[in-house]
Amino acid sequence: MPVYTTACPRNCYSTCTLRVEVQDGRVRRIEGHRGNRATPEGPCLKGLSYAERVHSPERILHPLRRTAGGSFARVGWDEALDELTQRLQEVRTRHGPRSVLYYSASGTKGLMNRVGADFWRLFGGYTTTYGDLCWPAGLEATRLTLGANKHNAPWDLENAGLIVFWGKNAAETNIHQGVFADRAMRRGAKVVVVDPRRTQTAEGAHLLLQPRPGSDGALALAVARLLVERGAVDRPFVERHVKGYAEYEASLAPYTPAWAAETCGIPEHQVRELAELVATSGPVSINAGYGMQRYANSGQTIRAILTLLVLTGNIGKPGAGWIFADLQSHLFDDVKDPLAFFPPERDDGVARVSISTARLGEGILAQRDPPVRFLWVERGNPVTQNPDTHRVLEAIRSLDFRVVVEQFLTDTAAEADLVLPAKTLFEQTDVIGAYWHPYVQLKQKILEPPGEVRPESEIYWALAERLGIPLSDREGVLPAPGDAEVSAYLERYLAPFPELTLERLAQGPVIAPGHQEVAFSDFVFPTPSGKIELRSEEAVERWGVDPLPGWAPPADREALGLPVRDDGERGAPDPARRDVEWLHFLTPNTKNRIHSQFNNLATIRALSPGPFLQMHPKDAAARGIVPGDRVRIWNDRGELEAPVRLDRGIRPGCVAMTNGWWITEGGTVNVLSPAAETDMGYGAAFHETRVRVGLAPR
Amino acid sequence: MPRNGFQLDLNLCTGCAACVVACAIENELPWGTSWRWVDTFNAERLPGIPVHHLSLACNHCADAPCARACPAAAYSRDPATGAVLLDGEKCIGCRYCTWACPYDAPRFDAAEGVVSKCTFCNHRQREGKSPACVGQCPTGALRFGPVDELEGRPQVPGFPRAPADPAIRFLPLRPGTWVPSVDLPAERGEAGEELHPWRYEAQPIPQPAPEAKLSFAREWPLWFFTLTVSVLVGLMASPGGRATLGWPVFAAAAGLAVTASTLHLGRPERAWRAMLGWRTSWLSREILLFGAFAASGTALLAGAFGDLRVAGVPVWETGVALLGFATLFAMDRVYGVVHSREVGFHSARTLTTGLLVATLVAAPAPVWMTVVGYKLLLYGARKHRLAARGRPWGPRVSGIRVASSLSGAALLAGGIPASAILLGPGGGLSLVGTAPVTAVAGLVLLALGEALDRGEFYQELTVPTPARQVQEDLASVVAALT
Repeated sequence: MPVYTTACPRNCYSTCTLRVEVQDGRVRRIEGHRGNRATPEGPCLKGLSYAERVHSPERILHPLRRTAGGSFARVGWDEALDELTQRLQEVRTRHGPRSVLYYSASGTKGLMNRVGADFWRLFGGYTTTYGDLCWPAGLEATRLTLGANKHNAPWDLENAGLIVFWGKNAAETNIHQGVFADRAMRRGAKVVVVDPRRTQTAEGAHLLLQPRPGSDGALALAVARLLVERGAVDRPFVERHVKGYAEYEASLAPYTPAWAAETCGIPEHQVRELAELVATSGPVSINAGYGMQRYANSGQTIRAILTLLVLTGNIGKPGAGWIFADLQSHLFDDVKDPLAFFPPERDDGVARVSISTARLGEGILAQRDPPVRFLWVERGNPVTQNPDTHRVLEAIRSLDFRVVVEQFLTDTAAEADLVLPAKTLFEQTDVIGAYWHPYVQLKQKILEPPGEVRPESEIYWALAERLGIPLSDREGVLPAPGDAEVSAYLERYLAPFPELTLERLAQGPVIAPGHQEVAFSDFVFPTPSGKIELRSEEAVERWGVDPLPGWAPPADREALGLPVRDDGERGAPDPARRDVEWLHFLTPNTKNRIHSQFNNLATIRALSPGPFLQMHPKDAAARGIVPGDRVRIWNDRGELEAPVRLDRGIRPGCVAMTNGWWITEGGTVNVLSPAAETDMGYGAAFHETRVRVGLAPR
Repeated sequence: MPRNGFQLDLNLCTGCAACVVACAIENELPWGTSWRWVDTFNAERLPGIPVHHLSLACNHCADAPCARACPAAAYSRDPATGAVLLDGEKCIGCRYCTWACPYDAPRFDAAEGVVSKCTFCNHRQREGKSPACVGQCPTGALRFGPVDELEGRPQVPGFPRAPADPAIRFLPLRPGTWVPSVDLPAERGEAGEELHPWRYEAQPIPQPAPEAKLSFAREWPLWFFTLTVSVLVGLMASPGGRATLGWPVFAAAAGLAVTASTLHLGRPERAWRAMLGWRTSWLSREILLFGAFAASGTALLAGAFGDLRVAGVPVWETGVALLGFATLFAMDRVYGVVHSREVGFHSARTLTTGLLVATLVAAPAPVWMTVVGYKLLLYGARKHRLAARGRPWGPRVSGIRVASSLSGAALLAGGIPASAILLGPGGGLSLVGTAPVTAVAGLVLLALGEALDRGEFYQELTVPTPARQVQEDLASVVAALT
C-alpha cells in the first residue's frame, strides 16, 4: 500500500509530519515521521482522527444553496457559480467592490491561502479584517523587546535548568513539548507552572502558582525586583545588549513581593520561590502561552515576563530563552506576523483593511462608504470563534449575501446562503511552515477530492473566468486548475531557496534555511536600537502604553479605553469583592480540538461528549450547586447552559469552559466574551470575561 | 514461551487518548469505539494528590481469567507472542469473560452480539511491529517489549490487583515532583474566614458510580434459570418431591429454564458451544452437569431406569440427586469468577436454596427451619458487608425478604412461633401435615424471600474494574491524608 509523507496544517504548535497509508482511495493508517525531531513519535489524537474526518459522511461534498424554507439544497457548480457571479457583479456595481468582506482565519495554513486575497484584488477590491484572534499581543511585545519572533529549537529544551510554563498548558496544546521537558527533568531540571488552573502540565511540576487571571504582569514585576535585590542581574549582558535597564530598575521600586502577592492573590513565599528558582536554576526557559495574552493588558504583561530572561542573561543561550513563537520557518512572508496583520499605513485603494477581527460584529455593522453587503468566509468559523457571538450573528444576518467555504456544516456555514465544499488537507498540495519547530513541510495531495469538492484555488479560477477577468491577469496570480499548476505555483515561492524543492520536501520535513538553533545566539536584535529594548519608544508611538513594561489591572477597562459592559462596575475595581459574585470566565483550549475543529467526529465525541463548566467546589457551594447540576452562565451579552464539573484544581473565583464548541454542540463560549482588543497587536481580549453562575432553570 | 507486554510511563502519559484512536484505526473498529481506553486517577484534582492516567487495554495475562472462564472455547493464546485472542466467530456472547476479567478488557458489543477485545495487534507483532497504540503514542509513554525485560512495577494506584500476572509494567511518577503546590492564596472569603488549607480540602467530590456490569434488569434470565434449577434439584432429592413432579412437568421446567438462560446470550444460535470449555470453565461444567441432571431426571421420572438398589440405597435416585447438587455446586462456582467480596458464603447460593427445598419437602421442621435461619444469618452478614463499604444495601427489600421468610416459615409451622419449633421436642410439623391454604401461603412467602434474595444478589454483585479501582484507591489515599 502506498505511504505518503505529508503534514498537518492546523493552527497548532506541533505541525506534525504525517505518514499516511492509502488503501483503495481511503486513508488506512496515519503515523508519525522520525525525520521531524520535534514530533518524532507521531501526531496526537486529532491528527489520527483525519482517518475519520476526510471520509466522514457528514462532509459537505457539493455546493449547497439555502432554500426559501431555510434549509439547504444541493446545487450544481454551474448553478452555484452563475449565481455567485451575478451577485458579485451586482454588489460591485451597486456598492463598489469593497462592499465585499473577505474573511479568512486560521483553519488551514499554507501558501495556497494567498490565492484568496489575490483573487479579490483581481475582482477590483475588497474589505478585510486586521488583527488576529490568537497571539498578537505576545508577538508584538516580543517584537518590541527582541526585534523578532524566534526561539530555540524545540529539542533544546532538554538543556534547560528551569522550565517555566507561564500560562501554557503544553500537555494539551503542545503535547510533544512534554517529551523534551521530561528529558530535562530526568536530568534534574525544575519546572514551574503559572496558571489559574491546575492543568495537566502542572502535574509533576515543582511549583504551581495560581495567580488571579490577568495579574501575571504584577507577578513578573515583583520577581524582577527580587532578582535585582539579590544581585541576580547579569550585568555584563545587560550592559552590552540591553536598552533602558537603569530606568527599568528604578521603576521596579513599588513592585514588592507583598504587593504582588496581594495583587495576584497568591502567597508571598511563592513569589520569592519563583525569583529564587529563576536566579539559581538556569538556564531558564520561559514558555509563554497564548491564553495569558488575551487580556486587555497582555502586551505589557508579556513585556514584563520577558524581562526576567533579559535581566538574567537567559537569551541567546542553549536551554534558555523565550519560547513564544518561532517564525524562522515563515520564509515566504515579505512581512512577518504580527506586522503582516496590522492595517497598512496607507490605503492602496484595493484592500480596505478596516475591521478589527476582535470586534467583527460591530465592525461589520459600523462600516460605511461603502457598507459591507457581501461576505465570503473561508478557513474560519467566526460565529463560534470571534468574540461576542450575538453581535457577529447580527452583523452576518444583516448582509445581502453570504458565502462560506467549509468541510462541515458549522454554525457559520449554517448562516450562509451558499456553502461551497472545501478540500481537506489530503486533497491539494501546499507548503507550510510552523511556529514552534523550524521545519518547512510539504502538505502533499494524496487523495482526489471526493464528490464535487474543489480546492479554493479552482473555485477562484472558475469565478474569475465567469467574471470576465482576462486570462493574462489571472496567469501568474492564480494557479489554473490541475496538480501541475499547483506545483508550479509553489515552486515560484521555493525558487529563492535551493535547499527547498518539492522533491526533497516530499521525502520529509526540511529545516528552514538560515535557521538559528539557538535563537539570538549572534546577539543581533533587530530593534530600532539594535539592542533588547526594555524601554521602547515604538511601544509608546504605536500603542500609547508606557515605554517600560508595567502593570495595570486588566479589568480597569475605562483606563484602557475599553467598554465596561459585563460587570457593570466602574471606577477602581475591588478584586476581593468582585470575585464573590462575578467569576472570571476562562475559555482555554483542549487536547481534543483545534478551536472549533474535530469535535464533530464520532472519534472525538466519544472522548469529549459535550461542554461542561469547570468550577471550584467553594464557588459551587456558595451557589447551591452540587455535582451533576446543570448551570446557567450569564452576563449581559448572553448566556449558556452546561453541566458543571467540580474541580479542586481551579482557582476559586474562576470558572472555565473550553472554547470551540459549536452552538449545535451545546453552545459557544463567545456568546459571553467581549469584543475588546488587547493593549497591543490588535488581538482579542477573550479572557476579559466575567460571568455569573447559578443553577439552570428546570 | 516469549511473552510481550506493555509498559506505561506515568510521567509521560498525559491522558491524550491518541492510543485509543490509534487502536480504532488499526483494527477498523466503528468510529467512537476502541479496545483501549484511559482511566484517570484523581480526575477531580484533589490537592496534594497527584493526577495520573492509565492507558489500558487487555494485559494478555499469563493466567488469563477470561480464557479460563470462557465456556465456548473461543479464547486461545498465540504461542509466538503470548497474545490472548478471542475469536468472535466462536463467541456465544455470554459475557462471562467480561465478569472474569479484572481489567475490563473484554467488552460486549451489543451490535454484534459478541464480546470483543484487544488482540495485542497480533497481526502487527507477527510482522515485527509494535501494537498500534504503542506505535502512535505521541509522547512515547506507552512502550512494548518482552515482559521480563520491561522495567517498572506491576502495580500503581487505580490498577486492579488480581493474581492473573498481567503483561504490563508501570514506571511510577517521579518521587519528589509529584505533589503540585496548590497552596492557595491567603485570600479571605466573604465572612472573612481564611480559606481552608488543602489538607482539609482533600475530600473527594462524590462521583457517579461506574456503570455496573451485572444487574437484575440484565440478568433476570439467569435469575430465573438458577432459581428454577434450585427448586428442581431440591424436589428431586426425595420421593415426596419426585412424586409432586412427574416427568413431563420436570422436563418442561428444565427446558424452560434452559431456554431462559440462553436469552441472555448475544448469539443464542451458538449456545451449543457453551459445553466446549469444560476443562477450565465452571459455566461449561454447570451446563454439562445440568444437561446430565435434566436428562437422567426425566428418564428416572418416566420410569426408564427401573429399581436398582445397592445395600438398600436406590442407585438411580441417588445418582440423579447427586447430579443435581453437583449442578448447583457448579452454578455457585460460576459466580466465583467475580473477584468480589460479596461472593463466597452468601445466602443466595443455589446450593442452600436447593437444600431448603429438599428439607422443606422431606425433613422435619427443625431441619428446614435451621436452613432458613442459616440463610437469614448469611443474608444479614452480606447486608452488613455492603453497608460497611458504603454501598446501597436496599433496606426496604431486605425487610420484605426477611419478613417473607419468617412469616412463610411461621405459616408452614402452623402458626407456632419459629423459635418454639426450633427449640421444641422432636417431630414438629412437616409440610404434609399443614392445612393446604396456609401451606400454599407459607410456600409462596418463602419462595418470595428466596427470589428477592437471588435478585438482589445480581444487583449487588460488582465486577471490579479499573474505573472502580481508581475510586477505591483515591478514597484510601484521602483517608491516609486526613
